Amino acid sequence: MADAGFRQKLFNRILAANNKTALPDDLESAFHQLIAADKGKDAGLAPMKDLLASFTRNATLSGAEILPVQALEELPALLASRIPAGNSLALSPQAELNSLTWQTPVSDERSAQWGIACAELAIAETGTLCLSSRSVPSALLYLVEFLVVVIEPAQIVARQEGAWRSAGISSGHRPRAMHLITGPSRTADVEQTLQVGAHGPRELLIVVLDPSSVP
Amino acid sequence: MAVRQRVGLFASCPVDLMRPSVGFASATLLQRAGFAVEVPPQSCCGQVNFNSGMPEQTRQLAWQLITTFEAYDYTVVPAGSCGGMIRHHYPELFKGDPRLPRVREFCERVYELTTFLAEVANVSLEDITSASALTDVVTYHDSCAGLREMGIKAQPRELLQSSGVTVTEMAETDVCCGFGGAFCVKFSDVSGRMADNKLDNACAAGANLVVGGDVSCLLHLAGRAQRRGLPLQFRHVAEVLAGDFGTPAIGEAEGGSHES
Amino acid sequence: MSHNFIVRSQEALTNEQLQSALAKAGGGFVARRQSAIDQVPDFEQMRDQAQAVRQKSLANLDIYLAYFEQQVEAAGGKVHWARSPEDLRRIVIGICQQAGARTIAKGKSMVGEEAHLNAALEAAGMIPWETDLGEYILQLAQEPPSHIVAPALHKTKAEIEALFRNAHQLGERDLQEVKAIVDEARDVIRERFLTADVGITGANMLIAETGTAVLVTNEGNGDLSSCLPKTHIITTTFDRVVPTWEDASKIIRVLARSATGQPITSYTSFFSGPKGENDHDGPEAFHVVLLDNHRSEILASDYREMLHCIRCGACMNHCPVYQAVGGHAYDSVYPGPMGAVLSPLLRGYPQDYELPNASSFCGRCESVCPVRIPLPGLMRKLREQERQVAPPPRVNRTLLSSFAWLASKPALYRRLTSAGSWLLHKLGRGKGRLHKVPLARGWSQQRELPLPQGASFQSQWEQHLKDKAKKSSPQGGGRG
Repeated sequence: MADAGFRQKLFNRILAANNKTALPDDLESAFHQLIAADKGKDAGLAPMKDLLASFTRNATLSGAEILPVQALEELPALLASRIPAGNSLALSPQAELNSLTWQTPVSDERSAQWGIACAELAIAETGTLCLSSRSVPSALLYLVEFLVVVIEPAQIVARQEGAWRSAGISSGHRPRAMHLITGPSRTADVEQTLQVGAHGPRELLIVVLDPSSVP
Repeated sequence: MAVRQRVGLFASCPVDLMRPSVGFASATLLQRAGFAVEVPPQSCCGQVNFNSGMPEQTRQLAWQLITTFEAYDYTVVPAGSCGGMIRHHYPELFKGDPRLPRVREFCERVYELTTFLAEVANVSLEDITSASALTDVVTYHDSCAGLREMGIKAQPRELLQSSGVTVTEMAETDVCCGFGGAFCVKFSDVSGRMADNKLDNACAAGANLVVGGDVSCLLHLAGRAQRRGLPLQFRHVAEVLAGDFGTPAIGEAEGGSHES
Repeated sequence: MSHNFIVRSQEALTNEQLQSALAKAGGGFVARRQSAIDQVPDFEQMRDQAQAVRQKSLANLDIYLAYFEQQVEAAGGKVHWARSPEDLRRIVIGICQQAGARTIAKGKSMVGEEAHLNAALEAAGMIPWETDLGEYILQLAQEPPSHIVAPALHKTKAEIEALFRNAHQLGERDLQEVKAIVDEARDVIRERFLTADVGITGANMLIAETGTAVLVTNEGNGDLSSCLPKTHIITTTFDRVVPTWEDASKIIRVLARSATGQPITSYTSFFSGPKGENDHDGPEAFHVVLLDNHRSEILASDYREMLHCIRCGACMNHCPVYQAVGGHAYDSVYPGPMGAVLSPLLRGYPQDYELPNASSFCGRCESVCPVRIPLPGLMRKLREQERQVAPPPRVNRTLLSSFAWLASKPALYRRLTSAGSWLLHKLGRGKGRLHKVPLARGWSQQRELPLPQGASFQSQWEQHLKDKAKKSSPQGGGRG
């Protein structure tokens, strides 16, 4: 194919621009040598004290609503009181959720107005939820109008770097998609006026399980 | 008293050619601060050629300026723009040139006027400034090179305050007035709009006197304000600090100074 | 020098709708960025870290890029190499045809804009649907973007409503509220996500470590375009690579704060390959198309730092020239200060060299650039280059050279300029200014010309010293 020929030309140009002549024979070890100094390190920024408080504050600022709940079992009743009649709920195929008895009609993410999933991690510095395609269908996170995400305080890390470490991201472990979600979907494309609810959820409800269990 | 330190006053083209009163006011302030002021033969710092993409000619002018002024203890410039050109861009121009160490050593002794008075001269500012006669509502225009290359923001305000002038701040003080050297004639309409934004902000702040540290910006703003018939006058900060209100403000008629 | 920008900027200054749109956007970006920065104690450190990531990414780009390609393939995806916009169009159309695509959901991609991808897809018989609201508005208006982050910044709400009324079956429905416009777009575009055969998005970064493309959005359209269709194509450039996820975080930290004043956008997604057996959903095919379009030449040039750009748009949000005339005056996909550097380097049209001249060198762009690109310095270098490739008119060159020559002879300079100042002073007959100035139209069409106070400062100073010596008075200072 024509672009294969250009690939070699491009690499030659890049090598020349970097005063090199050829790629290393052992690309794998050359790459890992280069990243060794920084890989797995913390952000090197101001330390954070109370992770749950920081997470809660930043998530609220991003437009999410925080709902503290003592136990997962309370959730079906709590949501039933919020979800209007006629609406349905899409469940992420996670065992914790599917073992509960829901009082709301359950359907798939293409027809449900509401969706619920459990996060893998949360990031305090920006009030961000971290969910991957290994645990949650990506479409559920973006197609529903009202998204509910469950986290436990122990899942909160200070910064992104900590999340990558906890998630064990490496070439041996890379979910197809890792989604960082912060607040509801939004746009400012009409006269720079912020409008919540563009293509994704209009509302993001973060359920914090057993908030007193802070590690 | 110890031997007076010598200051070489580099007037800058706009002051030299358009507004000598700023040069005299600068000399007055420096003398009051205890320095011996000299004005050696001088021309341009090279900024015009530099910004037009002519580094070779700029280097020649720069070297001429350096050899003229390096004998003084300090070189002081009543213009943030030319000061920025010298301190910030001369070392860059001589990168890879054997003269670079000498250029660097010189540049470290070059100061914009208000920075020199507020931070280097080591004098009581109340003793050297005298603007208490001023009754205008004053706002300050931060010129871009001074603000961003030379960090000039607090110094002129501190000096004005110690001279008895209260500065009424306008909105968007850190936004360019649209002068920009050749920019203002090449892109005249855009430049005019930028000036209008600045002038509207000054008017909205209730000011009637705009003070600044660069005659070039002030010429452009004054010319635009006069074209629009706005009730604004323009002076260099050195004139205000030295108490020279007898000289007509920029672009104003003789004998019709703004107090009348 | 071409006058394309001058002509376009004059039109822009008198375009009332554009001016009203610019006025509404203007200060908002600046205030929001400032407030986002004020909320963290260490933004300057974040900038340093981001700059360091861009520097090291380019320093060993050869290794990172090769590793990126290897990892994309290990994850089951494919990397394609496009020398030119034409190559990119051909490659993307080939993938779409292979996928049997009729309709395509598109996320915002500046590289797609750079390559004029939509027109090519249409010509190949496919329907590209823009899904980012701003890009969708522009697709309806058949206009190019005017801002790299807020593409429809130049459109007023009334114009958008009219576009929707023309294209959608609205009946009597009212779109006065922004919410109504957004909901309308949401309804129309949602069906398109669900039925599109291919999704095309850009990428803000590529991560070598895992062969990952990072996509930063607020609307969620990029994620829907990537996870619903069977094929996901990413169009971006090879210089976007960073080594690791940790490095990507350093860029993410400054990107949204600089762009929209958010600590992070609503959605930051990391895509690595097609759906694997452990994934719940995702595309079956994953393609990354990397465009060069002269960027490898930039890498080898004095303009390398321009490749540090992370496309936040802070430079244009803070540029008083951009704010006065908007993005279309630049006649390029990349407007504002970053575009004034990039356009001549990517396209090299003669008129592009006008762009680095259209700056007052106020330096506000450099002062807000999250990766500290010396934009005015690069523009100055382009002015220098322009003098070599397209010399300015002889009269300009002669004028500047003569001035430099005269300035190099201080004694002559002093005599001539002082006489000139004195003459000009006399021309004013005491009025202090001139209304019309021959040979200085550029000045006098906007301004009065304040006149010199008389002879030059140097001459007056010399006279002052003589007078002082005569009087032998110890009093120094003012002219007395």
